[in-house]
Amino acid sequence: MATEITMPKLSDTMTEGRLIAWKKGVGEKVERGDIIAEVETDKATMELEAFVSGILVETRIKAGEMAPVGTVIAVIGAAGEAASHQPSASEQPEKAPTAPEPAAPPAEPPLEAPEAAAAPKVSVPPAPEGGEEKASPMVRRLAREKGIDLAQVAGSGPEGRILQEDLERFLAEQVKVEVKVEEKPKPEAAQPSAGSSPQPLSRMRGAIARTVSLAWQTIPHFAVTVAVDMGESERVRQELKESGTPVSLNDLIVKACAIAIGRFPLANASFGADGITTHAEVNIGIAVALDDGLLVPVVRNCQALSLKEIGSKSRDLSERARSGRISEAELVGGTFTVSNLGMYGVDEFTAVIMPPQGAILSVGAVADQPVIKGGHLAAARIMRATLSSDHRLINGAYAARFLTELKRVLENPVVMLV
Amino acid sequence: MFFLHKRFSVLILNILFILVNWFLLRVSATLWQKGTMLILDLGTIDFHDAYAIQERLVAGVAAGTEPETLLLLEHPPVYTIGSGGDEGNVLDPGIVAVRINRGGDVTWHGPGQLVGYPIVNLAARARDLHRYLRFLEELLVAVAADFRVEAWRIPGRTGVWTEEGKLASIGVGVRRWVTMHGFALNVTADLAGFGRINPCGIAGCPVTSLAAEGDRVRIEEVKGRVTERFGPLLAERLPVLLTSG
Repeated sequence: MATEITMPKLSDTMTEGRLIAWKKGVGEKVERGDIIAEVETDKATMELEAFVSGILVETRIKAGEMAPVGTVIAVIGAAGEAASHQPSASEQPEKAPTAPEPAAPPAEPPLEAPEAAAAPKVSVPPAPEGGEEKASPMVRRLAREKGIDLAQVAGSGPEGRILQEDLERFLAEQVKVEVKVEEKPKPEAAQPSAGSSPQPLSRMRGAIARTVSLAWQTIPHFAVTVAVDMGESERVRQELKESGTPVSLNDLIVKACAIAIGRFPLANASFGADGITTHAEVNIGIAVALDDGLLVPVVRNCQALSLKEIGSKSRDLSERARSGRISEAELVGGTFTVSNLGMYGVDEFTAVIMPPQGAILSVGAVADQPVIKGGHLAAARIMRATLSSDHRLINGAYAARFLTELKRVLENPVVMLV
Repeated sequence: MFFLHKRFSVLILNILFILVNWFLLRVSATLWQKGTMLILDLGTIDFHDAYAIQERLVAGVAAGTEPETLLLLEHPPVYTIGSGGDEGNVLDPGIVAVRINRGGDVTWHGPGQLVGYPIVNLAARARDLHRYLRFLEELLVAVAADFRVEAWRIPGRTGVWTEEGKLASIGVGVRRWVTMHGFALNVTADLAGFGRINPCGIAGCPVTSLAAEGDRVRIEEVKGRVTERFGPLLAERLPVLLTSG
């Protein structure tokens, strides 16, 4: 009697796992209780134990590969049983629905974490109704909540099943597309060599590529950089922290931008065919790096927000952007952007403007640097900030004055507390 | 009037009785929890010795012959790498990273870093590795806050982070739903050891410590806070659902 080993569900929130290593080879004898493989989810690995004895007849994924929870990854046959009558890997999709419950993961005691009942059982899919997309009830509910038509989502699970990540990817792409950007013919990059084959773009990568191409092709960029002594800002931040108001340096920078924009409104404007639109609302986007892309959630009406309010909104938005729980409304409508690579230790860089905005501030790391103060050598906490501007809106001197104001505010941060 | 008053006081007594009972129940539950969670301070111990102790405890906890145990310790300098880790993240060819059965990539351990190896029976609590990882993060965020260091988790980047970088790493191995390995919290550690690797597989990942973030702090104090917080938070986030056997 052959027993199928499936990718175990090691958490209610686990949708797929990585097979780290096979501990037994095909054809090898397996005793009940032997470790046959190691599976990883997040930063935890689980030793996968055999719950039957026999011969490892077949493995269906290779070490290092991912597989959705519940898919068959190996088959253990009775001693003497040949692999020949086992379905081949190409027939694998048909197997998943017929396997009622993974046989391999440790036999579950009846008492389980209470939430388990609500979790989708990937191994027992609902019978697909005529022509309908395959997705678990949870994914369907999410789609309903977010107003997504499942027919438009490409599923990456077995048999094209739509997984939660597919929804998130779809959503992320929708958002990026709606930022504007009509399809333009993409200039094909020259292939470096015949030997390397191009990898298809992820949806988010494709959306980013379209946005930055549009920006780079239509906006005449120029950049101006200023060095800011962040010593006072760091002190204020420390004091706020000690008094129970956690704000980051980036929050101080966002607040300072809002103040500087108050004096230099062209930094918060859009250039269009009909002329220049200066926006009354200061909606500052905060670039958040993801593993495979970039999202820019927007803190709205910064001109009217206190530092503390900016801090809590920014923290909430960034966390949700990183975990893919952000709505599209929170990603659109920005009028200015702050991109901070300080945590990576860079000195300075020049970011690409996000159309239809007119400027973006690129923030480098705060580092100890020698300065001359009153004729004496001293150490200061220096940060470089670069403003990329749309030259159709902003002249060099205007950008310089904006940065001077930004520097003044950050070096006298009390201004931001009142 | 008197009658009403009497009934009222009976009601009060009843409520008091229920409250006291509830309180006693809570106390005994806490004592039981405390009684079963053993916390051992191993001082500074070689990685392989600690590994052998972990292996023995894992087998014992799975068999129900050993209580769940939290090992707190420091290692002499050593590099370890998770089962699925990429050797390419070891930048210095002179380093030999010990490959071990935990999640995550390469990391450094050494003096001044508080290492915690909880041997916890998830089969009796919740068979949920993500919940367990989130519990470890929450514990370390709370401990950092005890030393006035603001830290947080970043979804998708397991570990504990501050504005300056990664404060604590997490990597867990599970055998028969009993956990091993765990967390490494930089307290006063010399962070130079991380410079020869891509910590946790992230190139140029900045690393920080409690000492670098502000107040003076001794590793013994941090051990104390972890010891106080571990049991209660575990009982809250992953309560025992069934007793073994």
